[in-house]
Amino acid sequence: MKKYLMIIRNSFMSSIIYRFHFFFTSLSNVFYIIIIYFLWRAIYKGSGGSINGMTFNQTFIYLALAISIFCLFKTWTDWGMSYQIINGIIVMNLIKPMDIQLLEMCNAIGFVFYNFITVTLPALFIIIFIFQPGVITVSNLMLFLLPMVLAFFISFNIDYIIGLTSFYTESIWGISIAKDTIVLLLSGALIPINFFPEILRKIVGFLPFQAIYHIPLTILISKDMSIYEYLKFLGIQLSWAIALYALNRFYYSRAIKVVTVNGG
Amino acid sequence: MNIVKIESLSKHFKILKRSEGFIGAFKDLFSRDYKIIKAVDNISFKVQEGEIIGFLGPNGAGKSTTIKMMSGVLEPTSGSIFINGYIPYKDRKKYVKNIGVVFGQRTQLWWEIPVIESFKILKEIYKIEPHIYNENMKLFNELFNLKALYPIPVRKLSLGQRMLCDIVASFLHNPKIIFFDEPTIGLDVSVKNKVQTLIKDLNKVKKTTIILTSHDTGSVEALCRRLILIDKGSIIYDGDILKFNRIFGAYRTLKVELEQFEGSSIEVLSKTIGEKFPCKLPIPVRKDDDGWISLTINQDEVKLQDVLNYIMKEYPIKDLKIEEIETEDVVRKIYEGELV
Amino acid sequence: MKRFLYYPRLYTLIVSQYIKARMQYRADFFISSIGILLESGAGFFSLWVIFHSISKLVGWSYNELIFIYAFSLLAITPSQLFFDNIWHLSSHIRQGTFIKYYFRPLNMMFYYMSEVFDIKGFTKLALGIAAFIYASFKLGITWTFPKFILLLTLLFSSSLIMISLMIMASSTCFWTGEASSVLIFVFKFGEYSKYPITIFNSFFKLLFTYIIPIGFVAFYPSKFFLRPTETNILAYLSPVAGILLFVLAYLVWKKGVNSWTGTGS
Repeated sequence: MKKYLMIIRNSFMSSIIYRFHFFFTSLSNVFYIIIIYFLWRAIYKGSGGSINGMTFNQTFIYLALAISIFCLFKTWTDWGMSYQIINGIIVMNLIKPMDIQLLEMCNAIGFVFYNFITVTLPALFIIIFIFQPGVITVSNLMLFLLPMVLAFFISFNIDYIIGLTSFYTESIWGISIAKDTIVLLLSGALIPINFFPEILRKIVGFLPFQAIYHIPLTILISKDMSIYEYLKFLGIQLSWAIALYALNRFYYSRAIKVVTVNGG
Repeated sequence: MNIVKIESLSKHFKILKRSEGFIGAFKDLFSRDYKIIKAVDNISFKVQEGEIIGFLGPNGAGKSTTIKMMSGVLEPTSGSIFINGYIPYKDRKKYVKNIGVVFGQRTQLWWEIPVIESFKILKEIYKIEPHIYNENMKLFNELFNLKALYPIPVRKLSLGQRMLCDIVASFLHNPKIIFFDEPTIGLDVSVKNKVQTLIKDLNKVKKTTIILTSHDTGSVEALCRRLILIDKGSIIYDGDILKFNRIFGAYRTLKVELEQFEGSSIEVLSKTIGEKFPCKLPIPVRKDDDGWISLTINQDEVKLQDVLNYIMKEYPIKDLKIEEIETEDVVRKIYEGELV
Repeated sequence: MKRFLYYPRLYTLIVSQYIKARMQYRADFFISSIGILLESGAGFFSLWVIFHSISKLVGWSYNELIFIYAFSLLAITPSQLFFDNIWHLSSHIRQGTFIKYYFRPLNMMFYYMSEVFDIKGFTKLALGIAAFIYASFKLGITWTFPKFILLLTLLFSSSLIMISLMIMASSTCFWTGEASSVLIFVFKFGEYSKYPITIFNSFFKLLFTYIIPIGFVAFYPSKFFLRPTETNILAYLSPVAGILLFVLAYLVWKKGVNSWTGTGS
C-alpha cells in the first residue's frame, strides 16, 4: 500500500514544480468559465428566461462545473502510457511487482489532487462568490462525493482504454483528441444534455459518458432528489464502472502481448 | 597562430533554491530565494590552430558551460572570448559557419530523415561547393565505411552509429574548429575506439582544430596532446598530456568485492594497508556505494600485485577488477600537490 | 536572387524529406484526421444544437456564425501546418536538446520551425474550406476578384496574429521551463475567436480587441463580408495588428533564445 501512496505523492510533486504552469492552468479555466458565462447569457437574452426547462443560472452552473470536473479528471493517463510505449519505459514498469492499472491509477490520483488545487478550487471560488448560484447546498455536496469518486473511476478507465490502444498505434494524438471531444460532447459537458434533440438524448443515455458529468452534476444542483432516484444513479455509475474495469482487464491481457511478444 | 583566445572568462548562474518535501514544493511556488552558482570562474587559455585539446573534469566541473560559451550558445558573465576572429555569442550566425559541434547523445541530424538526406540538407545550409562535398564524402568512405547507414532514418540508428554519423557530418563543411562535448559518453568499448580513431584520423587529414570534453581520462589520453583539467569552474592543470601520463599513467584503481566485509572494518583495512605499504601519501581505500572497495595505487611506488596478494590472504575475495584512475581521484591528487 | 531564394529552397528541401518520412505512418494520419474532424466538427455541432433553441445570437444568424467559425478555422490552420513544432519547445528546453539550433548558420526560428510540418493540418484546412463555401453559398455572398484578394489578405493577417500569440506563449518556457499551460491558454483563445465579440461586456470587448486581440482572428475580418455597411475602422487594422504582433513575437523569441542557459542535461 505504501508504495502506491508514494506514487500518488510523486506524481503530485512532479507536477507542482513548475509554478508558472500552475498559475496559467488556473487562469485558463477561469477564462473558459467567463467565456461560457457571456456566451450563454447571449443565448438566453433572446428567450423568455428558460430554455429546455433550464434557467440561465442552472445552465451556467452546470457547464462551469462540468468543465471544472473535466479539468479535474484530465490526468494525461493515455498520453503517459503512449509515451512509455514509444520510449520503451513500459518494460521498467512491467518488472516492478505492481499492477500496471493500479500504478496508472495512482499516478492519475496524484494528478487529480494537483488539478483540484489549480483548477477546481479557483473555479468553485469564482462560481460561488462571483456568480452566487445559490443552488448548491451542503447536503447536496455530501451526496455529490460518492458519485464523484465513481465518475473518476469511469473517466480513468476510459483513459486507460485509450492508453492501451496506443500500444497498437504509433501516436496518441489523434485518438486522444477524438476521445476528449466525444467525452465532452456526449457527456453534456459542452452543452447540457437537455438541449439535445430527442433521439440524441436517448442514444446518449446508453453510453457511459453521461455517468461522468451528467449524473454527479444533476445530483449536485437538483433541489429535491428522492433516495430511489439517487440510488438509481449510483447503480448506473456502478454498472459502468464494473463493466469498463472488466473490459480493461481483458483488453490489457491482449494488448500487453504487443510488448511481450514484439518487444515493444 | 592562436585560433582561440580566452581571457578571465566567467559564467555565473542564478538558480532557485528548492525546498524539500511536500510542504516545500508548495513553498517554492512563491519563493524568491536564489543562489549564485559559479559554473565557470575566471579561466584563461589559448589554442593553436590544428591542435587537439581535451577538457577533463568530473561531472559538473564546468566543461559543458565552457564549451557552450565557446560555441556561441551562452553569453559569458565576464571576461573575453575570441575564436576564429569572432566573438561567438555576438556574431553567432557568421561564426557558426566555420565551426562544427557535436554534443554527446543529442544528434544534430534530422530525426525522421535518412542520414544521406541529412547530409544533403547540410550541403544546402552551408552552401558547400559540389566538388568539396564529393571530396569529403569520398574521404569519409575511405576512412570509415558508413555507406550502409546512409539510407536509414536517424531515429533508427544505435547510439554509436548516430555518433559516427554526427561526427562525420560535423566535418562536412570543412570547419576551422570543431567542439565535441562528451563524444564517447554511453558508448561501449569497441564503439568508443571507433569514435576515437575517426576523430583522430579526420584531424590528421583535415588539420581541423579540435576541442573536446570528457569525464573519463581514457578518451582524453587516446586523442589529445594537450590537456586542460577543470574542476569547480577553474582550470587546475593545463599542459602536456605526456607529463600528465608520467604521473597518472602509473596509477591504477584496484576494485575488490569482499565476502562478509563489514563497513566498520574499512578503517582497519585502510590502516593495515597503510602500514604494510608505506607511500609518500597513504594509499586511499574507500567503499563505493555499490559495495565495492577501491584502492588507488601508484605502481611506481607499490606493486599492485603485492597489495592484491595481501588482501587475498586476509579476506575471501568474491570478485575483482583493475581500472584506470578515475577523474575524481586525479583532481584530488592534484589538490594534494602531485602535479606541481 | 540566389540569396533571396536560400530560405525557401531550404524549407522545401527539409519539408519534402520530412513528409516523405511521415508517409510511413499512414494509419496515424488517418486516425489523427478523424480526431481533427471530430474536434472541429464538435464546434459546428454545438452551434447546430444551440440554434435549435434560438434563432439569432446577439443579432447573428446560424449561417453567419458558421461563416465566422470557418474563417477562424482557416486562420488557425497555418499555425498548425508550419509552426507545429511550437508545441515541442518545452520538452526540447527541458531535455536540453534545443541546444542544437544554435549551431547552424541559419535563422534560429526558421531552423526550429522547419523541422516539423504537420500534414494533419490539411484535414482542418479541408473542413474549413468546405464550411466556408457552404456558409457563403447559404448567405448568398457574391465573390468578386477584389473581394477575394481582400479575403486572402485578411486570412493572412489573422494567421499571423494567431502564430504570433502562439510563439509568444511558447517562448515563455525559455524562462519557466514549461509552456504547455500557456500554450493551451492561448490556443483556446484561438477557439474562442469563433464567437462574435459583441456577446461580451465592454471590459472583455476591450480586452479581446486590444490586449489579447482574438477579435481580429475571425470576427472583425468576417464583418467585411457579412455586414459591409457595419464594418468599423478597426477591421482595417487587421494586417497592421498582424505584422506588429509578429515583430513583437519575434523579439520575445529572440530574447528567450539569448537568455536560455542551456542547462537541463
